Amino acid sequence: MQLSDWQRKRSTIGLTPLIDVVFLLLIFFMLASTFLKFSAVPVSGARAGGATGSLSEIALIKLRGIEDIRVNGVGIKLDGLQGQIAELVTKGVTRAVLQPVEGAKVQDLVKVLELTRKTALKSVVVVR
Amino acid sequence: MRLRAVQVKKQPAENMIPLINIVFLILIFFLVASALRPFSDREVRLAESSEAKSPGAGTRMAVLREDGSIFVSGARVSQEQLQIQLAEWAKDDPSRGVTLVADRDMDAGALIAIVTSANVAGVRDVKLLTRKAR
Repeated sequence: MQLSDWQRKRSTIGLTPLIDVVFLLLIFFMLASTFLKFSAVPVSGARAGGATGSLSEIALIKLRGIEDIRVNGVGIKLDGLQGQIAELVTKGVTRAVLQPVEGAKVQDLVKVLELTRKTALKSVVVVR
Repeated sequence: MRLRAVQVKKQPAENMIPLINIVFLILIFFLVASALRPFSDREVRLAESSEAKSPGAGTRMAVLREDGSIFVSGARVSQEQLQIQLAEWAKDDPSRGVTLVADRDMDAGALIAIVTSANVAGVRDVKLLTRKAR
């Protein structure tokens, strides 16, 4: 009896600590979260002794910058890259080696990797 | 005059509840609409890609800044220390890949050197974190 009496007398929980905690959570989520959409692009390096097959199956893409791309020595514009690779694929090319030369940035590499991954090539490896 | 006196008396404590409602609302908005950042380095600006494929939760990450400095879980490491860390990861669980968080203006050759060293260390699955272009 005494116990229930005591419970009844207890005042309601204060709102201030609740607001404190909610504000804290709000600030944490505002700082720690992002609205960006991320993506992970696979990058495969060449391995020693991993390659089999003839050299004629491999196309070499040299990348000096987004404006300076050479496929098997032929200078190509970025929007002509997929067409050029499609043409090489009809000639029996199945793989490509992508080599950035000094001056190429990570952004250029990602762009070219994405374009080449969308072609009929079986694999694209990067070398230094 | 009498009206004002009544208003002044009622002011305190009463206005708390709408405030909490709004703060709760904003909190729930952030919880639902956003995702936690996968990495915390604000110096790094990611390269843009056209597609969005989730990097997956709990991937191992190494941050590569434009100036060539490398960070693993917030601490700066040297090339050699990264090599040791990569070998450790490969030994620990080879099926789990490594995601590189590289600045978009970093030299591509330097990135590939790190990809190659990861492959040499035994990490088979190396990915590069990008953000989807809007």
